[in-house]
Amino acid sequence: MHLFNQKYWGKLARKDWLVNGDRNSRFFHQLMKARKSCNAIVKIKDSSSVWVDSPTHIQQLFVHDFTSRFKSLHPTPFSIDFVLPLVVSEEDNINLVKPVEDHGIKEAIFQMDKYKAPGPDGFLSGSLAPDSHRCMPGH
Amino acid sequence: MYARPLNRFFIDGKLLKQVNHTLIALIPKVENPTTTTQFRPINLCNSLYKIIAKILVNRMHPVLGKIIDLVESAFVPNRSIHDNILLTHEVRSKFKHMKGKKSWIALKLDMEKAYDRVEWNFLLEALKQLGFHSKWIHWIQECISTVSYSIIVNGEVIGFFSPSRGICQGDPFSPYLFLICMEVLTRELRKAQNTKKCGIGYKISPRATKIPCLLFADDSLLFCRSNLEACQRLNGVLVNFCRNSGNLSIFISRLSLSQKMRRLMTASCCFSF
Repeated sequence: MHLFNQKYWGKLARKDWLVNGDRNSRFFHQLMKARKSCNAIVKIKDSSSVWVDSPTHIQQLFVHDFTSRFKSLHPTPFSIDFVLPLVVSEEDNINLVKPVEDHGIKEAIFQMDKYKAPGPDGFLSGSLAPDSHRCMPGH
Repeated sequence: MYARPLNRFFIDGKLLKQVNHTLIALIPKVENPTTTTQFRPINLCNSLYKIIAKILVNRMHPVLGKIIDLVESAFVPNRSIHDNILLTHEVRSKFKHMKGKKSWIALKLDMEKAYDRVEWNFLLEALKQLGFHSKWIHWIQECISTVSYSIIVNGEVIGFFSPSRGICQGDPFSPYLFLICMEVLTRELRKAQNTKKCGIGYKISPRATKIPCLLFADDSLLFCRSNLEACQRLNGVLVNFCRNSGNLSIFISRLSLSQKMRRLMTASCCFSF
């Protein structure tokens, strides 16, 4: 009986996913809410391991942390002493810097994953691919 | 709609800063992250920038196999990361059953925030020395130096800053640029290994080629003899690499030894970063 129950509910849950997983349904909204609360950063330790829990402070902490992480410690070019052999040939270089052509652009667009998270411009790469012939001159 | 700005980049070599604005999404590395360092910054780039980067990557692909040393197995086309895993196992079992006078050390290095800390000068210098065309280097420079970041925290976009070091994770060509940085370390180790009796590098059998290290992108495994001179020499190479590459901080996360554990003390004392 227990096993039956498990199977039954398992199937039902699967069905819910299939039917409502992607629709604008109550199920979907509940799911998203749960996900959001799971991923929320409620409190965090700062550099001196004190808990910070106000939203604005958390934000400031992140901005401060990342700004310093990406700041170079060597503002002026510093001395570098290593020697690498020349391995990139003339021929390779010609291929590397040749002018970009339509099929190169097309290849790049079609290689991108369709449903990766979009950047600040909000374009999914997938939204480009199906009608990417529009990107090409002459269309 | 994209042809004109793309051409502009590839002909004039200019990239608008707005095009290269990037959002940083925070992905927790552990189950319950407690500090800011336990989030992995993943960059969400604009689609135009992504296309440019992808085109650059596609062109770089065929050259990569030539540039990057055989000990690196990640990201290089036609190489499999499993090869290095097998080799690592081989070396470990060899260590276990080793007899005779000599003893060896394997060091596993951890690089803290390796991608975010790469100095641009270092990377560009490495590209130059490898013989890349100046135009190509200029493109790369333009791509990495025009970036500006904002962070997404709890669904809100906050902050705006321009970095002065680091390559973005999430950018299509960042793994390859990182490989080139690591290549500097490999070459230095190879150079050190070629001098006689230096003690860096390990041979599985007398006839086999010497392996100075095994790399899996930012994880690396180094081999040396367990005597003071060899360790000091290896230390010298690593310190030099740290200094050159900006402030990559390296930790030894794991140290395994072949039979003859008594020399552990002398070995572990002389590494200092």
